[in-house]
Amino acid sequence: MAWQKILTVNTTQSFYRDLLAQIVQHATSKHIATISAISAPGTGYVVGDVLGYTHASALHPADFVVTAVGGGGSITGLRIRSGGSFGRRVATVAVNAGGTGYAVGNIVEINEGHVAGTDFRQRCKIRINTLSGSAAATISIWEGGGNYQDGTDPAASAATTTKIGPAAGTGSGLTVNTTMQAITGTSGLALTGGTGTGAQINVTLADTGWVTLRDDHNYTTPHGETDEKQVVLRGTVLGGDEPLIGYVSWFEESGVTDYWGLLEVVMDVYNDGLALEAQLGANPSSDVVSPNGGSYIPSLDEAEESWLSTDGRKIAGVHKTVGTTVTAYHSHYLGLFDPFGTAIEAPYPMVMFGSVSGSRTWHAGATSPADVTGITEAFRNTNRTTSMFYRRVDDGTYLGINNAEGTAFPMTITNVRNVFPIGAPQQGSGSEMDVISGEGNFAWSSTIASTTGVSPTVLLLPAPGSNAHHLLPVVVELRNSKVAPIEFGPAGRFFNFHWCGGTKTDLTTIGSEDTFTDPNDPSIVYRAFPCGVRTETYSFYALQEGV
Amino acid sequence: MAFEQGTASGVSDLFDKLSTFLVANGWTDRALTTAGTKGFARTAATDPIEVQFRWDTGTPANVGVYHSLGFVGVGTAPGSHTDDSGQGVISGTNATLATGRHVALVNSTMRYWFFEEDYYCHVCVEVNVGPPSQIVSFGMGNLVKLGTYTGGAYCYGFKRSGVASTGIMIDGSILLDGLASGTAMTPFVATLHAELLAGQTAAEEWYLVWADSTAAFQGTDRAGDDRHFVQGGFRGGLPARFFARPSAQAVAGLIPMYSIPLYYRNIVPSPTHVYPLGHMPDVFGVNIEWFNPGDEVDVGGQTYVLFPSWRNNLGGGNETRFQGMAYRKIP
Repeated sequence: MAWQKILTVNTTQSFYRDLLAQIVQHATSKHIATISAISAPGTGYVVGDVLGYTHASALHPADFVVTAVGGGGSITGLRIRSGGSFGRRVATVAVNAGGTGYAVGNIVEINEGHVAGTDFRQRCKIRINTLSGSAAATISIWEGGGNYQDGTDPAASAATTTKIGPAAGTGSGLTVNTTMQAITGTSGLALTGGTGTGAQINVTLADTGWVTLRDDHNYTTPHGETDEKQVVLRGTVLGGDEPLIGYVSWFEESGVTDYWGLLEVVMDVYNDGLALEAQLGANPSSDVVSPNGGSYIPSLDEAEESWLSTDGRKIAGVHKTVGTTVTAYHSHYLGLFDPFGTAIEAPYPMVMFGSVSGSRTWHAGATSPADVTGITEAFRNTNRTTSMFYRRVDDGTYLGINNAEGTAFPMTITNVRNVFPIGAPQQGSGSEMDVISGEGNFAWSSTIASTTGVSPTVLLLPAPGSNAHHLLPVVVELRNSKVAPIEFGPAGRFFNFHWCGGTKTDLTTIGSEDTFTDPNDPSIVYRAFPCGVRTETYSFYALQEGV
Repeated sequence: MAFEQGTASGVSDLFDKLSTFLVANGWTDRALTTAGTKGFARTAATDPIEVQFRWDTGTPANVGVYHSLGFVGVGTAPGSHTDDSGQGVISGTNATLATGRHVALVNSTMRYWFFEEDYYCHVCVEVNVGPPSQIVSFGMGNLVKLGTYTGGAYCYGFKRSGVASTGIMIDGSILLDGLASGTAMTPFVATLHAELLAGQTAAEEWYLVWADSTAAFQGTDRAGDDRHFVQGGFRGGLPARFFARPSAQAVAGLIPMYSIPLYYRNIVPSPTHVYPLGHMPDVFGVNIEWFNPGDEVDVGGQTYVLFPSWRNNLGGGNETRFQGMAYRKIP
């Protein structure tokens, strides 16, 4: 499990496309999984110092937080915050033979580096920068140099390439010369930053868990935008089906308003020759970038922060957008969640969630934020589809999930598929199956989790004597109407997402991005975020940093 | 750390067996001298446990359930020990005992199940073999606490509603029950010891487990000090609302068990403030559609014993239907 904070840039491409590139870079790399030793404690440090480590093989640096110091400010406790993105990568490329038929901006990838029976993690991609006729004259590495940690290196001389993407042009024949960058070592890593000097650590590295199966550029959207990206990734699961997920970047101009973001896609089987929407078991709304339908991570075309929580089962996290009117935190989750059952009883528990359900549902200037929701809130507007889907075990159908619908707030309990703790199944209707329990005077959906900034009737505070906010797992409950009487049951929970109370012990409101420590284990730190753009003063979600 | 399942010949025999069981596992029998009484203590608990029980020696059935913070002496009747919670009527008369917190037993053969671990003791008793079998429960222990407050000791009796849809009616109280409500229920509900929570004075040491929110206090303890209240629990609140309904799923056949948490609700400020206090140890709510009383299930190598909260029977009223409890069995 890897936690990584990233910042999108536009040095080579638009910010929202860079977001996808960085997600893939992190997911396909190795990260620092453990600190095996503080090999040099250094001096002059204080608790709370944030220390960094980077390396030429790092696409994202790792960082650490000092949790304990001894005499002279020597470090005695250190926790991993961001695990970094390390890999064996292509360091340089140069034209060996320029080929023919290329255009400036074409993206190709190096063919070599794959060994039958093993896998590369991500192939090195190359951008054609200048031409000599239609031959590539100068080239540069595109999106980081790939990751060849599990296979052989590309050929050092005359490595062959293939253009990628359906609109990549007709070029062919480009071969390149390469040099490689070894992955970081694991002993005596010198840390930088903080108030002290001299700290070094020994670490272990672990695969973050994903392999690229499609990593294409040069797609044209249904709206005529070019150079969009499509990515398909395969995860890692011990003893079970490996998840197959995908992302599509998109940009759309509608009147005076621009929309950017990533569309999420899941599938049962991947066939390289098929379009995403044609993949076996592809989810609904995977076919087009739709004004209304699917699960999206909205973005803006500017530098933005993201927090990723990734392992071989899922890619999830929070993407922050700072608009002209509102700052929003877009939670997202794509992959398998923790099922209620074994791999045999609950195979391929695929779930997908984005904060909006259509490509045109939100932008920075939105005056009506009701279309943006969060993973614990799971609200949908009446004129939209939901943005959360779960793959039903018995027939592979993707079921929409939401806690409430309609334009009226606060949310009301419905009898559809819900997300705990805000949602709850219908009860008390008088049928034999219903009469199990009541709410008493204590309902999250109507008393605690007020979602519109209206005054709640209950403020949930930390436990007495503690500053730790009350955390609850985020659980999806399904309603199976295919059987009689209708069944209800938990499908599973989202890894590393917790519902979180929004009020501190001193009665002030928790701030977005605030952190707090587990009272029983100070090495565990949670970071809290609000759902979407709501003025959700009283109900947040929290993720554990470092995982 | 123990479990015992057996048969008692009546009320007195049940408590004699409970005494033997508890003493063997580190508890103290206070050896009360008043006829028809028992007192048990677990002073080594994080929050020391001091409880007493009383029944009518002439017509034993209703057993009063009392909770105190201290112990006066062997000759002191239940309800009169130091810092008593006020729950349970001080009486030795069967009919009078029924007007306060109690558990209604029968003075004939009863199957029983004792569950004990540091630090709690939970008891289930089959008072009618049926079918359908009828189960009552009582117990005491320490919450698995959240936070650092002083307290955490709890004690509960059993009261079921006498009307239809017993399981969700507010005039019943089972385990630590945050669905019980209404002033008529005040004498019957479970108690929790806690001190100096927000809005609480030093003299106020007791909390009642129930759902009402219309008053800041619910009666007084035996010393006349106000009692606050806590909510959530077995039948009321979040886990029950979400997880009580699911029965065995068609595909996996799995049923969730849900924890029984308590929350302190301070209604003096506006909006009211709620604080998580912890949850009951080793007992869970569960849908028992497919189980009989006393059935055992293994989950990951751990055995749980399942019971209906009162009686699993779909026909008519006065039933708790599929509302059930799962106790962790620690041999």
